Amino acid sequence: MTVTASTQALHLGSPVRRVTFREAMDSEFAKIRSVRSTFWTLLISLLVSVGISVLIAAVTSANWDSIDASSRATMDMSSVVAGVYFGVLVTGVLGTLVVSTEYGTGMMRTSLTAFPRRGTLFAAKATVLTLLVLLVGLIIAFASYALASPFYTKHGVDLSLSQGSNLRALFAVPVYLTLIALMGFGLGFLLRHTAAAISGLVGLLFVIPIITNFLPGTTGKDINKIVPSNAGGAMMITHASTSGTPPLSPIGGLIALLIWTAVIIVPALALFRHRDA
Amino acid sequence: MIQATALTKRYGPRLAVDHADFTVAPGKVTGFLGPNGAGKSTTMRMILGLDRPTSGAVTINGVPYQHLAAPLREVGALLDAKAVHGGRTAYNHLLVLAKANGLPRARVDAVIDLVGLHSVAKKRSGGFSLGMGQRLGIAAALLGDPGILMFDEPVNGLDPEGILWIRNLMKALAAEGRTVFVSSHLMSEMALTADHLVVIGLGKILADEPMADFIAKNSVSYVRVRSPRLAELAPKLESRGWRVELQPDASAHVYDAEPAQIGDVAGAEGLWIHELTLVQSSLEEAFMRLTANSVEYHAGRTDAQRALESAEAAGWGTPQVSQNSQVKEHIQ
Repeated sequence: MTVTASTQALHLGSPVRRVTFREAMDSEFAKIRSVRSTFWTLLISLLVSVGISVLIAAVTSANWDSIDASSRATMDMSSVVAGVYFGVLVTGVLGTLVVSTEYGTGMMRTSLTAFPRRGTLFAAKATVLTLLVLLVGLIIAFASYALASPFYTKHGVDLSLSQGSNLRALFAVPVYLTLIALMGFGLGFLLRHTAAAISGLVGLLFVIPIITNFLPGTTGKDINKIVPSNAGGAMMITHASTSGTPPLSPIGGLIALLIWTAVIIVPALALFRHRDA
Repeated sequence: MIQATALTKRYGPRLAVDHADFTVAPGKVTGFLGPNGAGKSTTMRMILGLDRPTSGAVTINGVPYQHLAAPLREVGALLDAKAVHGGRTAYNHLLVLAKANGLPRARVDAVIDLVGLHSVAKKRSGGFSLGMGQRLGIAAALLGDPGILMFDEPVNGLDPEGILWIRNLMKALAAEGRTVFVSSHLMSEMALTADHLVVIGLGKILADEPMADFIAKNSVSYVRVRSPRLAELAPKLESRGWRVELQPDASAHVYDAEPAQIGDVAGAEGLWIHELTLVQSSLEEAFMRLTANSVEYHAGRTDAQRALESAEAAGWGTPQVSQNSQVKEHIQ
């Protein structure tokens, strides 16, 4: 390394141009591409979602004869993509990581120095995450369909994509994954700490449903319907409701999820804009 | 040009920065000097829009940082060399920043060459040594060819070669007409690099003046006198209106007098003198005196002891004859 400092190679001729959302997006894409954890997280969410979907399908098919009629009647597209119930945690964690690792390493201060308009930076980060998870979600949905649906169709379950509801259920997968990822993203901004934000996400996805399920009376059941995992599930169910409390309608599930996301994202943005970095 | 107007930051009951007014002008290195916890980093974070001032304002070329068209084209900052994602390579870290300001890829290569990180550019920065991390931070600061550069304690933990490199870089950048604002808690470091000095203590600006003025104003001198008959000599000197401090090592410090005057007095009284030395206090001591009442964490000692010890720890040794002329040589 040289001791003398030469700054001769330094001069940029081009005029200063105002940076916009586009530059923030480019930068966020470059960030996501240049760390390994993003790639691994997305690959794991793909393998977990598709793998568990296929596993459940294979086991269900093998034991078809011992399954009673009322349970058989609940087999639909939500069964084909059942692995998403688990894979969603991984994409949620990805949403958290793109924020919390920046706080953990101090990179957030460097990012804000390069792009200090916080609202725009927040939107760019959210957009990049959304596009990425939508894409992976589509792959998960159709890969699960391709690999798991034959186990059900051979027993006469109608999973034809010419059925509008079946197609709707498949497209619900990327939407569900993306909204949960955005919740993880919001938790990352709110808590600014990886472990805390992931704990919050696990609580939201797995603990609150269990607690509400044990609440007595119909109130608990009503709350249980709108927790994120069940609201997401409602978007993928295509069979007519059978016994017990009926789930939300698909559109109701989407609305519940959007409200959950907004409840987390809006304060996250407000705090990000006003808090010291 | 950086301009702070009544800049104030309060954390709970504590004022981290207290109505700070100062201007950092282009074409010179401005040192931002203060003890640990004085508010240097907080001030720098407010300049960069990372922390929101409780009141007051700070602008970059007349504009708050958040409103700069392309921040990296106007300001380059190295606040914390560790503020990078360790899983990203040095090259990609710089690329991420370049893209955020629409800078061409060629800039990344240019600054990597400039700071001498070429051989490790494709390595993940998590494994970098402190010195390499500092160089990466400086590369990031220079990425947008900015007119203003800010460095927070840039030489902390660096080896002598690295320190020399940063000193020369800062001077070269200022010589090109850029604004260079560099913080330090070491007066000795500032004396070697800064042309202008802003001193902060407990959040208050204590001095904002050219380095030369600070040196002239703050360096006190005294004459060290040793004599076998000091007990008789001291009252004679005091009777001339000079302040005499007897020292534990059987010498005396005489203030407000020239060595020749003391010699004349001793000669007239017929008293022998074994030593007569003009001692000028170091700049480190001047800085200690200035901030003596605004140090956040006092060690359990007297100020005078602490000043002496710190001066030694900073590599200045005990006060020596003609400290100032030595400093000036280094500056040139």
